[in-house]
Amino acid sequence: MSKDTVKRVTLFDSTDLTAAEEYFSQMAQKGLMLKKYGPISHFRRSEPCKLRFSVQVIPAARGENYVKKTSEYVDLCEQAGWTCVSGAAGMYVFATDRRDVPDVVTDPQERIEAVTKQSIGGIIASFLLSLWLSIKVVGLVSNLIEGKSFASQMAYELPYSLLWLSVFLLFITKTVSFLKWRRNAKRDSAAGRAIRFYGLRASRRRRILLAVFFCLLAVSLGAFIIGLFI
Amino acid sequence: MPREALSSLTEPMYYVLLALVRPLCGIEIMERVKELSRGRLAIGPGTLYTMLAKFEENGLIALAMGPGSSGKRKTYIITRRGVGFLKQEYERLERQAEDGRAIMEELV
Repeated sequence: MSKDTVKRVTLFDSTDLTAAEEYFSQMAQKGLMLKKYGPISHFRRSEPCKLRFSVQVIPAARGENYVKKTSEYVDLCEQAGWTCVSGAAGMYVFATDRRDVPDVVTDPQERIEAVTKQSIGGIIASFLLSLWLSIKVVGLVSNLIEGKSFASQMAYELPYSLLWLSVFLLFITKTVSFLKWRRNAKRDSAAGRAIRFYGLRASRRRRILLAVFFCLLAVSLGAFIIGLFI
Repeated sequence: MPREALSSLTEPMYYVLLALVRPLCGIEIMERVKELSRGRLAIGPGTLYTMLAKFEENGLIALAMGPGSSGKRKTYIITRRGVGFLKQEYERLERQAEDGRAIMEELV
């Protein structure tokens, strides 16, 4: 990795679009231009500049012919004056230095639908994983009660428990923030206002929880690997 | 994916269909809508993309053949079905305005 590239943890959920836009804009003003977006984003050192960012959940990035549809969507945005900086997992980051260009999505209902689809997918995945891990943990605890070797059981139980805890935490966090966001978004849409997403300050606590999730995930995987050698 | 039938048009949809009485590509549609609405309405490219896909699915617009329709920039034009739908919507809006006129005159 060259010295010109800086990496930062950017754990933004689909309800944190404003937070992501604020963050990338602040970074550009500090002279760090987004190069690659993901849980760990890459920034390129450049001249500080004032840029408008628009982070969008693209519904066209799913389903049939998604490569062609996404490419057409991005082309249209670029013709309108936006530059597609990067994209990952259905979330795309656009930037422009122009003030006269309309936002990428101007229909609030369309934004609510796209974010709802994306969020529900994540919530269902974390729920199913949490359920599967719960069954595993219960099975391991019952083995322990039946008198199997404590050391050998702990080697398996500890990582599973940590993993279960982190996934469960993720599931609760995602569900609560999504339901709160959807209620406010529907209210904004009915009142004819622009849909509000969580900003940098509002999403801080949840992003810390997401970071805890990834730390617990790393620790539990590490413990699981160590357990294999005991 | 099941086709989502359109029962009525939103304001941006109405202007996009109006713009497509002549063949236009995406960016031209955005400019034409701004012009037709006298700068009141600006449609984002993402919203326009979703809208065009919905119109095409419902047979209200079609890809236009001819110069400018090749390459990355797709050119669209309203279909006969689209014209019928647009006329219906225009008449509905006209009736609404007519119904409200007498009351609005009293208020003013």
